[in-house]
Amino acid sequence: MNRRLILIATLCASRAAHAEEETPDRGLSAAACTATLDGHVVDRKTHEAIGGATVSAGDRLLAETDDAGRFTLHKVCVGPLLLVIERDDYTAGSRAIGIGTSGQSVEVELDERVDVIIVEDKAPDVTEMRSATTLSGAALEKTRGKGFSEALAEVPGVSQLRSASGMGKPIIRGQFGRRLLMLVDGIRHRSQDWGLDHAPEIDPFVADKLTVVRGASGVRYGPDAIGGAVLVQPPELLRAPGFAGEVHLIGVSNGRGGTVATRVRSAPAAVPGLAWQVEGSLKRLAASVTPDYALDNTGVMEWNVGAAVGYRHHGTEAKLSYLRYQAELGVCSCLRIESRDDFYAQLERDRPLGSELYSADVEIERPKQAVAHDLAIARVSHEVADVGTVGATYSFQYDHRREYDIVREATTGPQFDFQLMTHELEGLFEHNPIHLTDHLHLRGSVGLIGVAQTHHYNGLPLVPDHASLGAGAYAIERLIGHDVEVEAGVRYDFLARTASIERQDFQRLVRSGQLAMDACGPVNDQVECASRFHTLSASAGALARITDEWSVKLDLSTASRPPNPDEQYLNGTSPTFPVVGLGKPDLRPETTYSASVTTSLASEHVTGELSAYANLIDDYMYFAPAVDDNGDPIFDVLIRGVFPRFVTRPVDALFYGADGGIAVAPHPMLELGAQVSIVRATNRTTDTPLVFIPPDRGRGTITFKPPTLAGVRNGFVTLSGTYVTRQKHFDLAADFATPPAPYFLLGAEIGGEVAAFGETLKLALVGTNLTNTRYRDYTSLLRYFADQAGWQVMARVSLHIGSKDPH
Amino acid sequence: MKGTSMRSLLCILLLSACGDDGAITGNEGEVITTVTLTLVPMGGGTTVSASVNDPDGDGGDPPIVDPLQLLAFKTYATTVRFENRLEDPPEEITDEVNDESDDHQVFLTGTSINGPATDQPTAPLTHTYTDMDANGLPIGLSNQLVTTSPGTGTLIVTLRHMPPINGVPVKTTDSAATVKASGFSALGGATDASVTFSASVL
Repeated sequence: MNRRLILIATLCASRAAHAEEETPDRGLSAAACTATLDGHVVDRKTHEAIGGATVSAGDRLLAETDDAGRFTLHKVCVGPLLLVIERDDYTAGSRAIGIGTSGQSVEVELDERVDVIIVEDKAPDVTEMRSATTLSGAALEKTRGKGFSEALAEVPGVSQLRSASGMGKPIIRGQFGRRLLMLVDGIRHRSQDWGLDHAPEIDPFVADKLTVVRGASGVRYGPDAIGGAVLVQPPELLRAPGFAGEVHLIGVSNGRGGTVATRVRSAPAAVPGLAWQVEGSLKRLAASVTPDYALDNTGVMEWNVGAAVGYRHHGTEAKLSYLRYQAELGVCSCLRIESRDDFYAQLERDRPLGSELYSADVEIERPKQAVAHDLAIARVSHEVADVGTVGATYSFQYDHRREYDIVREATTGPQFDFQLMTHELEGLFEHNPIHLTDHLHLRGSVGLIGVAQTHHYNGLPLVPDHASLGAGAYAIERLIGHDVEVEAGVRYDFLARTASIERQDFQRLVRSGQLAMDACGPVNDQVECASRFHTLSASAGALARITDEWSVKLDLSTASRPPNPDEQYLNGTSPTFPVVGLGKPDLRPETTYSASVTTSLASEHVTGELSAYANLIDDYMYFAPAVDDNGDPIFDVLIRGVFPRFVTRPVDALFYGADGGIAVAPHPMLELGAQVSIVRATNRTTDTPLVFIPPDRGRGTITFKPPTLAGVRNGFVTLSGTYVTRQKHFDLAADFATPPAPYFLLGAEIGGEVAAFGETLKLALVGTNLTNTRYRDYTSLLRYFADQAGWQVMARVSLHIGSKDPH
Repeated sequence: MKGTSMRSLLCILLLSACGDDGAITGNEGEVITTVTLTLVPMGGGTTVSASVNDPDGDGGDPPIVDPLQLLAFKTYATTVRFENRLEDPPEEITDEVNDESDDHQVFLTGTSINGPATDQPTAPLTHTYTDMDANGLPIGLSNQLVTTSPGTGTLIVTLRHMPPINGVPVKTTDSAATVKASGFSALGGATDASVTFSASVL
């Protein structure tokens, strides 16, 4: 049986609040025409909104549904009315309604058309109860050529923790790394996310949609999504016979080099239900240049390949996909972290020692990082008639990170070599919407997750080998009403982890007072230290549509995150700072309690979202200077001199702030945008600020959209300014240096579309830091040593081929 | 152990490389646990040897520092040795330094020393380099220490790795003079070892 799509139109008629002038409407009964009719059109199966459907009566088009599936008819006359609701991929439905003087409702059921229906986009995702931003289509196109976290940093509430390799990791509302989940194609990205200089091994070209969810999202995405989640969604396989392709060519002036990326998608007509896609990208950049000197050895070599094949038959879908990411990233020669004296002396310097010898060449030498990440997914789902959809997903990830220091030639290998293997199995059941009343529907899902992971480390003393088994179960239900949605979810996770610590490292932990001699198993060559964690996450959210244009969301969440292995067992000099880092093996999970309120406006000329939040974290695991009983810092004498000791310890933390953005289009040719992000984070145990919390930032844009000119369609010129304040809330002992000065960056972009070879060619020229401003960024590891990159121009050409004919 | 059996099970399930647990490839390199000074008095006498030894590497117990006691008005032929005693047998880092001597230099500083990297004419010890790399620059693995009047002070032995940047040498004839004038922070490269002895000249 073909998938049956049923459209329900829930129409609520209500009397207008005050009488309006009676104007008999042609096509409608000429009685008292003062009623206002609100409609809501949804897909019955998924109960998702259906936007862009037309609502008509007779030959008269009355309205079109908006993205939320809603429409409103004004001045409706009392009497019978025959409404017809249509969208290409759904069969037209009609329903006769008797408009009365009091409220009423109606339901329209539709059946799928028998002929071929092209459904390229699946139903939209569930409305997020947290503040969320999705980059897709033209907005995503504008980020092409930027790094993964650089692209995300354009969104309110998001900034970058930049490493000394030119790459970075996203910070959402002050949270990053272990407290931020990244999901690629629905699979949690498993990597060495704890390292400050470990950028996520994700190629932004994989994404067809990038979604940032701000705030604790533990129930849906996993217990450690305390700060939020980044969803990298690849495009759906084609659902109808056809062919689609895209090619992007990007050239960059600073970090001289370029990127080529392509994707081909096809669904052969000969085998109905079969579809496949193949993609790949290659990026090669030379070292970038600050206004005064080159950031020696910051070249980038990155490539990515992927393939997917899927088959659909009678409500059953299966998909296999594979992605491989590989990169070699040079680390700036300007880093001086081998000795504390050199590090502190560098802080006093205006520019790196020896920078006159630096060059912007393409060679990548030591120090460097080489990372590879494989992701394989097998996914199957089946629709059980009248019950729901059952699905299962198996994924395998292999993350291999090697870091190379400057060494003598006798040493050829990496100094740090991490291998992380993760198997994950998830079962999901989504029940069909339960219609409690005409206006109240219940949607929900339950899931079971199993994870097995091994970590193998080789290199200078740092982290132990470990293996873990985990399991989780969750349930989310959502009550969907006409103007209100309420969601509640609960999740339980169990994690059993065993670390194999080498005897020498174990003894060092014992001597440092981090671990009791009898805390683990017998002391052999390997000491097995086991830990078990039970964590609970729960959330409740509500969304109220106050008017057609204005809605308010409220979210209350709690989540518990078990410690990462590094937080338990780190044992060695840090690869990013001249400190001796020690974990705390008996750490308990940290628990967050968060609340956020978000208000959104979407009208013809103005769209915007503003969100405020507070996030209290009990036993927040914090890596900061160790102090003795008198409160004095502890130093360790090493063979390379004296180093401060840093330990992970539980503190109570509070994060709060607000972020939002607004876009105003006073004229079809003009668009003004503004966004702001503010976050505060305090260690409540000592009443000191936490480190690496982004300073306040604001961004403004002016876009001019000229009419079609000389064959250039959808042309635009954008000027943007970003202002970042100095971080006034800092803890010098944990920050090492006072935060850098505030800065302003000017950017510009010009672009448009031209027709070429019968297809659409998109062209753009993007300039960043156009005033060639010298600046340092508080959330950049480079700030201790050197300036950020100077001005840059990027040229981008994109070709999208969207022929629907089988090739 | 419960943990052990779980781990073994995982190793089988995940086909991961658990077999070589703890195997150190010996290629991660760069660890120095022990710096030894050997001082042979010219014209006969007792050879003095002192080391700074950190047998458990970074962290844990601090390094053990031997006292360095010398006799006044003597000339000592002084060699410096670097080892990694975490390896078995201990790894001889001195050989690696010697192999790449044009990228390395040992500096002697501290309150007890007058020499190329310090300017303390009244210090009890006077340092002179007695070895040379291929470019005719001092290495500092072999040195001469002359004791003048009795006194005490610190003797800091610093091994600096100074590989060239983009083909331009960082180790130059001025390296020791740079340390003398402005300290190590003004010198390129990175510190591989920096240990402090307490020297007394009797």
